[in-house]
Amino acid sequence: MQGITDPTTLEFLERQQRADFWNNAAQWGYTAWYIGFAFAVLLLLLYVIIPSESYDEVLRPRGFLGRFSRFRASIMHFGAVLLLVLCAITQQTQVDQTRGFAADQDKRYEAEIKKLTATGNREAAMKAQYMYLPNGNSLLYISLGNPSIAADYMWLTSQQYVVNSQRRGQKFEMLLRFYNTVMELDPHWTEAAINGGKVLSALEPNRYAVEKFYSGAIFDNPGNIDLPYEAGRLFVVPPLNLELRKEYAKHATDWFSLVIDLLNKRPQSKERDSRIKGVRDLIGRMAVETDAYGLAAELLWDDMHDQNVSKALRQMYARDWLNARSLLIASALQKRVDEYRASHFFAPLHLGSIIQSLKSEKNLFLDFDHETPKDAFGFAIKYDPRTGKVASHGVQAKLAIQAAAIVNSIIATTYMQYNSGAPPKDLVELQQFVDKFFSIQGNEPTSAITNAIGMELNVIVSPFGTPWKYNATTGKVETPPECNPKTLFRNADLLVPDN
Amino acid sequence: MVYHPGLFARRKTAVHDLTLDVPQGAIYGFLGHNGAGKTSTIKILVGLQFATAGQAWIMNSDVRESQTRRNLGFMPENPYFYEYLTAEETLDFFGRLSGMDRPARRKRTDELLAQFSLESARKVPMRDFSKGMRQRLGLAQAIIHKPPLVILDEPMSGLDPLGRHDVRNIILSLRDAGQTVFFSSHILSDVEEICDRVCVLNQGHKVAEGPISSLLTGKVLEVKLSASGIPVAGLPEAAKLAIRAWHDGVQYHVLVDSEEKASQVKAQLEAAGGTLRAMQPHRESLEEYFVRVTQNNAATGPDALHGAGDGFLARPKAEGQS
Amino acid sequence: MIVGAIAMNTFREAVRDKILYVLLAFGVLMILVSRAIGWVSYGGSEKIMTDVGLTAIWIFSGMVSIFIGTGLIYKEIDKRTIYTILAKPAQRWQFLAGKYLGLLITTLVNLVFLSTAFLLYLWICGAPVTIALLQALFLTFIEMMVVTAIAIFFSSASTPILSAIFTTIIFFTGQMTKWVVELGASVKQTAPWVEKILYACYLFLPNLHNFNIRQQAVLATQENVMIASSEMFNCVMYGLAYTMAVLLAAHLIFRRRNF
Repeated sequence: MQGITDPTTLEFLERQQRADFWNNAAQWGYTAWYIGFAFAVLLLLLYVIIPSESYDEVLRPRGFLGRFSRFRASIMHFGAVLLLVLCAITQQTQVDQTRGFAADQDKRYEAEIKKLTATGNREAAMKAQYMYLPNGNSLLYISLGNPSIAADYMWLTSQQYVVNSQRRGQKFEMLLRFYNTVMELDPHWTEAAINGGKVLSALEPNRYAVEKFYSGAIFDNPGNIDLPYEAGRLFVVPPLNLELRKEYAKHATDWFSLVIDLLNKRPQSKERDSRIKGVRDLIGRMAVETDAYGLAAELLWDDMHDQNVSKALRQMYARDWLNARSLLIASALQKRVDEYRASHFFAPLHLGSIIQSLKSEKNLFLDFDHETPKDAFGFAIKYDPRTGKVASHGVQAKLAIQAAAIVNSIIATTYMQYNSGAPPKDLVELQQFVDKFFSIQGNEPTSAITNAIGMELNVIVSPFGTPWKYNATTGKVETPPECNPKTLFRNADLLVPDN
Repeated sequence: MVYHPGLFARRKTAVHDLTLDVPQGAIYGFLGHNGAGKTSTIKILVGLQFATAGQAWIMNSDVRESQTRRNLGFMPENPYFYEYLTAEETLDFFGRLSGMDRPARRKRTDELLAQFSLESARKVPMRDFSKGMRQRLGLAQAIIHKPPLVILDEPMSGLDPLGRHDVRNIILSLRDAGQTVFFSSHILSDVEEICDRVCVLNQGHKVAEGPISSLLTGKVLEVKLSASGIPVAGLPEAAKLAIRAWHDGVQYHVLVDSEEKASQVKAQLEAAGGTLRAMQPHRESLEEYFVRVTQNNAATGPDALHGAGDGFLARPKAEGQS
Repeated sequence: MIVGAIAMNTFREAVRDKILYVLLAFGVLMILVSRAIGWVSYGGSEKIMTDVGLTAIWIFSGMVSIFIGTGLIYKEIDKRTIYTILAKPAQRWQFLAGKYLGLLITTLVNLVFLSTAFLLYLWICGAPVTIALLQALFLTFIEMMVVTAIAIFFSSASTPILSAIFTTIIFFTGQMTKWVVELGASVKQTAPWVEKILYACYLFLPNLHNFNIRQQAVLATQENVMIASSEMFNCVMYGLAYTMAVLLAAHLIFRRRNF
């Protein structure tokens, strides 16, 4: 969460400001109050002492105090009014201490405007639009101290804006301003934040800007679960850029972990548990992409032993677990290889030398032959001392199943369609076709395709690193025998037996 | 009972140094122009206004105390009530305000409704009451707790002769029951009829007080002689002595300004062969007394609220609030 | 009970005032319309409906307190029904207290009526009805206690139009006194004594925003949380203390007023 918001610092500042205010008030406030109180008591005492006005000539009060008889009633009134007002003041300070003042409200809103107005022409045009849009503070006055209604009004107006506005380019900024005002007026109206975020995310490809909007609302509503969940969901959409993918997955995982933490703080219930499960599924998916294999493996292990889940689902989890675990082993070994290389300037000849150092790490290797580390699928870990790359054959095999299917479907549906039903002579021809075809506007490859054969759309080299075996007559690429799902996932079937 | 109010109301002095002597069991009339200070005095007595200087007592208790009002019954000029309450409810409400408990209130309400002949209007809301009925109900609520002193402000204003007759009778019956009645009025003929004592107020000053009989001199102002059998042309020697003389076709009337002249004219008429039919002495009425007294004491200067009466015989102005 | 008699009378008189029914009708109308306003929104429709309803109840209760309150005492004086009443052994404070109680009962009845309609409507439309809403409505009642007292104060001292104007001004600016303090905080650097003075003034003013927990109440429905009872206690005590102070001040003026 670092870099997005730092709740501890801001909250601390706010608390500090409030404490300062009350300390100052206490210094002179208490004295003034006691003086007032003493005066009121004095007045009431006078009321008791001064003899009451007698209307009888004979009994008319004499003496010094007697001269004030006329004022007796007025004195009583003043004293009582003062006393009651002081009472009211006491209660008022109590209320103010509980609720606090608005103090220096978060200036994120004003700062944003300042930033925007500092640059060029387009912003000047926007400024003209801003003029007609009331800001939070003025709305407070117009609504005569009813911020809730003012927020509602801004919300409804923003909807009109979504529907009516023609300026697509500036729509996001204007809507952001609307929503920021709504949240400023009514910081705890989380529903508005969620719906607003959804609208913004539909308009704006820049996920981080929307995330910033969410984080403001999350800061104001620390216990809320839906907001960080939506923030995480922002990043579940796969981006076009591969580098961003990892970044996105990391953001999503962070937000979802926060959600799970918050959920765990709630009392146990069926609903809560199923919610936690849903979020963990998402994390699991993200985790693999962020190289957080350990986390993924852990989650999948728990999931596949969860008796409340159906058998079929658990088997699926088991297969995913094999994958994650193999990746975990491979990445752990890869890290050690890289460390070795950094200190010895070349990669180790075989893995045996570094395996010893790994033995101390608990839970890492369950069924493990000292010399030859195996992955979860049962294959030996592949290591090439020339390149220094560690790989899991099982993982590659799993990828190969998908990739082969995709390549075959490209041949069968797309290629053959454009070549009157004839398969390509070889994969080079196929590659040329693929390059040309998918670069045409409107023919972008689907995420299924890019997930299987990568962004570069390489149809020649298989996930094993070697070229596909292509059968020109059938028009299909062939996978090695270990790519049979039954054999590949036999370990999973052992872990979650059919019966 | 002795009163000593003196006050400055706003920029004008409404009443100066007033002392009134109202014997118990009497009917006391309080007279004056519009604006002479009658209503201000009454309001001070009743506790609606406050004297800026001086004190006022009723039966040895200061008017500013609420206890004083236990002995007091008050009816304002043109009394208003809550329109939606019935007669019965109104009396019940005022009974509660006077500190009576429920059985006493119920009994008293029945008594009063009968006494003031409002029994038929028991369940009628006040908005349907006529002026006369309102006035009667106003009197009823004033005496609901049988106070020894009853103060009325223009009780007969706006009433027709029948209504005035009713109110007069009620006031008399109050005196018979031993209660003291103090009321202000413009209608001097009524005052003359029923009051034992009066006080005349002019520009906030008391100009006369005492029993009516002692105030009116009894002096004969005019005598009107009426005789028959005199020719239409009249009697020139009688006309010389008279203020006015006229023949209405049947009788010859002569108006003279003294008893001596009256006897002279009487002799002349009889000498002329006429028959004296009537000889009416006209003594000073209260009204004439009032006009005389207020004109003589007309104050000048910035304190004057109104000019002195207009004309020789000042008729009371339209019933209005002073 | 003299005070009781006057109170009941005041209530009966207020109930006959046409303004009451006009305001009531508008209040109910706004409550019904709130659904349509909320319906248009693609999110938070229930919140908007609850918001509009609560605010409508607050505004119309306020109008009832102000207009009927300032009108009643003036009517008494103008129509001189007050003469016969004050001439009775009853004391002036009893009259004032009776008037106040009568008005308070009127406001309470009005509030209960609008609240019931509102809550029933919410329930019919399937929106959540929680204790927090009841708390918000209760504090609105306390607010009306204070506003009615202020209306009585002004109307015992001046004409009905001025009283209505002053009371209305206080009703609305009382919502925003908190931001006066914040104004002071913003000039802390240049003139620190200004902040102190503003804060002191703030403490003496009728801070009606204390009773505005509508924002928390509306959102509390989403997680079914109540407002803390210590906070409620503070607000209620503030209301009671301030009401009594204002009524005493009104009596101070009223007891020596000339009619």
